[in-house]
Amino acid sequence: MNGERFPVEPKVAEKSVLIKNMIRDLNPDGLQEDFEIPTPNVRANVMNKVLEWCTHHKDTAFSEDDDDDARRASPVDEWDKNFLKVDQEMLYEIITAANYLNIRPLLDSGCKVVAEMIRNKSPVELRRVFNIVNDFTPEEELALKKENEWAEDR
Amino acid sequence: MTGEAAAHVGAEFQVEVDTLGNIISDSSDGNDDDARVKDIDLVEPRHSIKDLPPELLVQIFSQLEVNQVLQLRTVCKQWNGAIMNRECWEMIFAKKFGTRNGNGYPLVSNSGTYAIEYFKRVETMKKWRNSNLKNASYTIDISSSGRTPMATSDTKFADQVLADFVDNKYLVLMNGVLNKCRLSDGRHLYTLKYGDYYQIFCLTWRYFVFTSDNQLVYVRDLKLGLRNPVHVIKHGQLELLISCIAVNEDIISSKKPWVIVVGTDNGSLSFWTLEGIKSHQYFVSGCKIRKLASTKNSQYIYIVTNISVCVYDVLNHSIVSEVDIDIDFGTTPTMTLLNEEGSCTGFDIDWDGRNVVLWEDGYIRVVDFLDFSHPRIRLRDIKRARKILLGKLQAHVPKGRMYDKTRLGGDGLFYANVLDDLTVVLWNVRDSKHTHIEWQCEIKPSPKMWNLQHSTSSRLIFGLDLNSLVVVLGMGDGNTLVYSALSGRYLSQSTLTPSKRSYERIPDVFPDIKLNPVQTEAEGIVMFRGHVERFTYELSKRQSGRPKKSTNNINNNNYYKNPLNVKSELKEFKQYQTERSLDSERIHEFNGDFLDGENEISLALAIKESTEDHEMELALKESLKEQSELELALKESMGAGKENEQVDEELWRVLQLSLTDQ
Repeated sequence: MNGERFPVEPKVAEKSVLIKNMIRDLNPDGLQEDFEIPTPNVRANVMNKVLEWCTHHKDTAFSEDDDDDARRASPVDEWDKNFLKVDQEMLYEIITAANYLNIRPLLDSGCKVVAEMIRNKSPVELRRVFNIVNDFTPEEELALKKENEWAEDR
Repeated sequence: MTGEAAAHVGAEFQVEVDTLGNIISDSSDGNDDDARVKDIDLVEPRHSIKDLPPELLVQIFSQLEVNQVLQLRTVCKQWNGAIMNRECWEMIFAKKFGTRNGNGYPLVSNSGTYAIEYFKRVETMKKWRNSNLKNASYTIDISSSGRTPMATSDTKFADQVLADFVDNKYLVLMNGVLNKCRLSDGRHLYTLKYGDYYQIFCLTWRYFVFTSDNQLVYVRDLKLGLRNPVHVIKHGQLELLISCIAVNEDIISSKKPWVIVVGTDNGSLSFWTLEGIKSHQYFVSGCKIRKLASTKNSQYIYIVTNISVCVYDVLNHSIVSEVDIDIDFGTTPTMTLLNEEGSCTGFDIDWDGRNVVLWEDGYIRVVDFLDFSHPRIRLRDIKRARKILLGKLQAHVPKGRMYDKTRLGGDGLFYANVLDDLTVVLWNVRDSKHTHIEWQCEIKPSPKMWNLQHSTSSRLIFGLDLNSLVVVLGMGDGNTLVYSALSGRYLSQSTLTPSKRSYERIPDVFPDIKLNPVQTEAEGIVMFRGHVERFTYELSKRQSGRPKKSTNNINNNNYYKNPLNVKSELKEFKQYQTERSLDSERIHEFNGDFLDGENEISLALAIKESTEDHEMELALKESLKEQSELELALKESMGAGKENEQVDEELWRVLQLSLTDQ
């Protein structure tokens, strides 16, 4: 976005499936030196964070889709948890970037961290925590609550 | 130091900062100069949770519990929109279970919200996948010398095996013997021997209707137990070869004078009362009737002839919809499945009667009767397969669920078939665009899993059943393998080990697999060579699954020596019982009364109340000829009740005998 460049090892960059595929598609014979990948949707400071994550995990073997169930059920990796102790703004940007760059383990960790912030909080608390304005009319809200009661019965 | 502290305090008065360091904006400030704020936003976009697209929100929500997710709907419109967004949940689901197609899966739950559906699926899938398997296995009495029936009927409406998971009972027709047993422990409720009578038959919970010589149709009312006479329908002329029989019990409750429909080779369709009186006859001109099926709560009968599929309206006695199919649907009076020599044709119908699936050699045809005036037919040629050996539509919730366009999942219906190269292919025959028979996945049971020492025939896959989540395959060696219906991935195995003796004794009994039609319950029964095995998958954690009566846990003797265990088990059982009776009530409420819903044992015990019992009264009323005269019916029902009492006493004695035998 700001024209900044981030020189990284291919191994680090390939944590992103998007970039991995891009490299593979553009350089089927193997990577030439100095390959530049534009990531216009990611801000520089977010990119820094994402690359920090990729560098740390460059040797981590993440389980493939086959074991998806187990991976999703597991708690967030301790390092990731500390890594994601950032302000909400940064957290959402990391999640969005991870989604865009297709880095599933990072996306999963990010989503889990946000889910933990939501867990066991009432809607009122959540509006405060996430700075959300209640845009329902009282009637609409009541109707939704009734619908939920009905749904829970099933 | 003090200066810095003062500055910090000062800052607190100006901006509020939350625990994560986000500045909570002062709304009065923002309102004054909206345009300015927007400009700043454009320069430096501030990310809040509002900026996350719905699919990411849903991915976050999918980590939570279902009840909280429902509550989150009231937070704001954006969240509500995301939670109600079906595509988002389907995407997450596809990622989670490795499915190839993005949408159009059949439903698991009865829910109207895809979020609930997602959590239900995940939980049920967990049961099938990583959970405790409970088996209960028993042998049923097939010692009669009756021979194996020539043909197995291949629709859900003329099965050799009926299983009711709510009322804990199953009915199985094998080797000339009709057995009714308890599902939980295999205890016999009754046995009826039929010998060679039936080649063409229709079995329901209430009636067993069969023919042997194409002249007489026998009707046995199973409700009346062992002693009632067999009604005989004299069908008539020799040239009318009976090809199929259907029984429509709903017609009884709707007070139609006939119950039994008989189709013949010359296209005649005759309607009979239980007493053997012909009430109506219709000719489907120019064709041979091959198969009949009637669905619950419906006024329609589905007719498969050698050239077409028709829908017959039984109230107006006319054909309301017809589609030509250019296959001669079978040359023998009844279809033979898994017949290695003959033509492999089969037929199945969806529970709500909307889709009829026909298969012949390597072709699948699906007729969609959603709109009677424009029935649609779809064809799929499985090029590499010469023959489809076995096919089945998914087990649906069988009772009272009619197709509803507005309902979620109306655009998904799985159909699986076994090909002659012993792969199993799963299709979605009700895809979102209603144009294709969509390939869903393929299963190739690994030969490693086969213990082939007993399997002499080429019938390596003897049976299958499926629902929206899993395909269960019965292998020729007695193993039952469970695969994911969405990705074709192997999930688990429940082993059935019939004794060598029974292998020798019962060489070739038609086997079957039935899954619990309530798809959130991961259970089913397998019938194989005189063995019946019930398998139930439960979540390892007790609180997440519904507590169940533990069945036939013979190996667990020590467990029951501890009185505490017994106590807790009893408590659980009681809870389970109340739940089950509630379930049962709900189903009755939903569908109206089932005349066949009674379990014979409870009938015998509750005989004193029988005349007051509403259902009993209804049943008795129907057994009378003059149904319209209510008073007379009531009067006579008292008399009939006494007769019934005797029958039931006899039944009770038989039961006691069978108990002492053990």
